[in-house]
Amino acid sequence: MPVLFKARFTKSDGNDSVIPGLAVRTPAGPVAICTYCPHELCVIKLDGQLLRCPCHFSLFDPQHDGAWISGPALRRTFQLQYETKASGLTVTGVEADLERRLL
Amino acid sequence: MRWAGIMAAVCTACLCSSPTSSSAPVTVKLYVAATGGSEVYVIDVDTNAIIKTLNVGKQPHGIAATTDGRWVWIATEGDGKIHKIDAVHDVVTANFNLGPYQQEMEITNDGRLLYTGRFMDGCYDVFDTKKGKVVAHLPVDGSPHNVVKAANDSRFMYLAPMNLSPTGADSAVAAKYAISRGVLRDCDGKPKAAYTTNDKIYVADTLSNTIVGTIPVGNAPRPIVASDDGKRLYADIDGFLGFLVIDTKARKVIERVKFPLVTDDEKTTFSRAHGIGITPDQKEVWTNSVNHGVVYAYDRTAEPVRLIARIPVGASPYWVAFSPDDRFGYIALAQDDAIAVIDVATHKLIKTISLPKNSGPKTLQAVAVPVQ
Repeated sequence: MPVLFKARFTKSDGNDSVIPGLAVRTPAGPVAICTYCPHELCVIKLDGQLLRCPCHFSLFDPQHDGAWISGPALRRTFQLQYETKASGLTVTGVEADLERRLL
Repeated sequence: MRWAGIMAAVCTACLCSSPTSSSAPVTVKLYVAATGGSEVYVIDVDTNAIIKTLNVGKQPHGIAATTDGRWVWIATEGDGKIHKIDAVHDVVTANFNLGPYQQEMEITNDGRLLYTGRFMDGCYDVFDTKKGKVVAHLPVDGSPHNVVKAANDSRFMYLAPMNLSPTGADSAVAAKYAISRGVLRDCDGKPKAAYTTNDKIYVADTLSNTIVGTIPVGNAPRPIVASDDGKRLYADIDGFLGFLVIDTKARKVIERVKFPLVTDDEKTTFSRAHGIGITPDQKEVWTNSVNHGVVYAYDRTAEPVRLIARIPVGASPYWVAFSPDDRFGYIALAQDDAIAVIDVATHKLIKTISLPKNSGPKTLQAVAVPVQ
């Protein structure tokens, strides 16, 4: 069952930022991806097995690391660094391109 | 049965008394472009009920109504057409193929010229509604998205092309990708070799159908709106959580209005401004913080403008429209497939109109349609 979460981190300018994410189990293990659409940073949402952006309808596959399927995003979802333990999944970092967009 | 009769009589009185510029009886309908699908929803503003669903074509986006409310034009992005709707009977009476990625539209006050943008082609088209064909092309930088006029005088159209992506670097990457696939074209349909980002609003003269000036705004303009007298433009732009006030005569930005961030969520969560409108009485300008779920209302009767209300809508607000009688503000909630109805006098959210799943409502316009 996919789980929505929010992760808070401190940007390089010293300000905090909260990003939305989704944790999902895949055959390769649990995966966490950012649910900001790479196009305009709208928050994408689950639509059946896929992630769909409500702003411009880009589609992504959460089972394959947020792979881009269609739409103006033209790339996969922003990637997160994370650790998985028995107690759960902990986000430890965000893709540099995402941080740049949030500065 | 007796109650039903009384209610019907009351409703009929409401419809006939809706104020417009003339005393002819009208009924006010809200047209909603469901960009996630192929439909335009027609909503009765007195009951907030969907009274007609028009299947026009893939990804409806632009809406332009003639000033007499008789005709509504819809642009469909997915199949590159514009559609003429008889607003009295809510039927599509004609459609024209203008090329892919049709976006927002605006029509001159005489109903003759329709200005419409082709997102991937860097081109606005001028469509003559009488001749049924495009009579002029206006090439621009960036990706045509929005166009507005002043309600009192449609001599000038203000064209607001956005970029392929909200940041310059990302836009260059997106352009490279799009060029490699041959989807970026010029006005004549020839593949583009290069893409130029846009940071200005173009001024088009509808008498000559030419660009007669530009207004630098510092980044790609997003939704814009003109005051009825044409003296002011208000613009959302990329990279700025707020809006700009523009003097159209001087063709320059005179004020940058930043939204106040109140909650921790607002201070730490990225958002952007999208969707802007002026109340029909011309007193207030409203615009949205999308990811924060807040609509802001500013008093525009004096400058600098003054914040008078922040209206949380509990979802992502995207486009703005008002009922002609100034009673209701309508906010498209694309993410929630719904329309928020806000009481203009109290600035309170009073109702949410649900639309079908994945309809993705975007642009919307309330039209006073003559009763026949």
